[in-house]
Amino acid sequence: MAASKSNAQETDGRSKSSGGIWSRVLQHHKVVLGFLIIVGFELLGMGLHRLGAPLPGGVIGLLLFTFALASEVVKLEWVERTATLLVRHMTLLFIPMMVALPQMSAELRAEGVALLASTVVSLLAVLLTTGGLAHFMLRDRVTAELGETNK
Amino acid sequence: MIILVHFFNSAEFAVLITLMLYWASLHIHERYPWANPLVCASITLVMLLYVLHVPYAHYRTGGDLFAYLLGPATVALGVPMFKQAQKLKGSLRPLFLVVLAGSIVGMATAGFVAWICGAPRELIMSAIPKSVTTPIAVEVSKQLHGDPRITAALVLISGLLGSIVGPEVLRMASIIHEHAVGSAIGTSSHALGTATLIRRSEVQGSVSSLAMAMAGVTTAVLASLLTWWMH
Repeated sequence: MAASKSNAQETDGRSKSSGGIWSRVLQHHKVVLGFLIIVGFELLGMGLHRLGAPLPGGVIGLLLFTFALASEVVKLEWVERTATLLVRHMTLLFIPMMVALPQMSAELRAEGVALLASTVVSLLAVLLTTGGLAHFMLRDRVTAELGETNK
Repeated sequence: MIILVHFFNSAEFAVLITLMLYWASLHIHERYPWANPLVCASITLVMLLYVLHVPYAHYRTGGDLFAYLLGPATVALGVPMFKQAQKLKGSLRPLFLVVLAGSIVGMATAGFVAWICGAPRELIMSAIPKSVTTPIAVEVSKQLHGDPRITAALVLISGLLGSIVGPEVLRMASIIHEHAVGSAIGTSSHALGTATLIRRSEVQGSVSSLAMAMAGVTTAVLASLLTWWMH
């Protein structure tokens, strides 16, 4: 439903592409359409989570959304602007969470060493495992690919 | 005076001041790239709320607006994931395998070290998802009965450290291949590490952002298995 409507709008926009106001209006619609689709997938994910799917709702939504993009049920251009906006300014969304931290500083201080040690050790372990494995597994393949693109 | 107190305690003021400080910290970050926008904005905001005597509960009425948007932002990660997957079609399988291995090692070591250091169960659970991008880490933390706020802080520390020392550590281990560096940084230090790599090399940046999304999904799946196994 949303698909056919947006297609109609796009052809409409292309036929009057020189008119600045039209393209601007269409761009605004695209942000709304993108938001609609993204929130729709989030809701779908939450629903499936409620029904007993073991993954967090947001992650289910993310997976379904990616599959929808890959199978072109959802076209990239409908959601690209909204998604880029949300991802680029994701940092903003974490600020309120950081403000909550001083509320619990006593607890954090009590276990600060454990948390810091765990973070640092785990960080190094992940870096070296992933990097080391990739070094051995991807080396030949990627060299071949790079060789092809260089030709 | 009373009017001012009402003003500072309103949800609108919370939204306004958060946007303003974020905007300012983005400009500072452009000028001084080492100044992380999240750290700058958060520290300034905490100090400002303290000076203005705004209790956290009042700030929250407006701040929750941004927290709500984390849900859609998680789903929106599908767009960069899809775009990078198209670019790197040939290497998806090996990339997935190394990310899987890295995620398992990351969750296991984080939980194990916290447990060795005698941290209570809630903190161990909060430390486990700390390698992945914050919106997913927060959801996983809730699922494991950790504290999402602690997880968010650890994710930030992990990302900052990883983007500063990560490339150096890899170079010392003579892991210099672009795909290897990208997958290691993406799996260990999510968006913050990826942002650093993009400035160095486009290939490293795109491998890193795909690895970051894969690590997020993989960690969520592994955490579900973990909760299922613990019950």
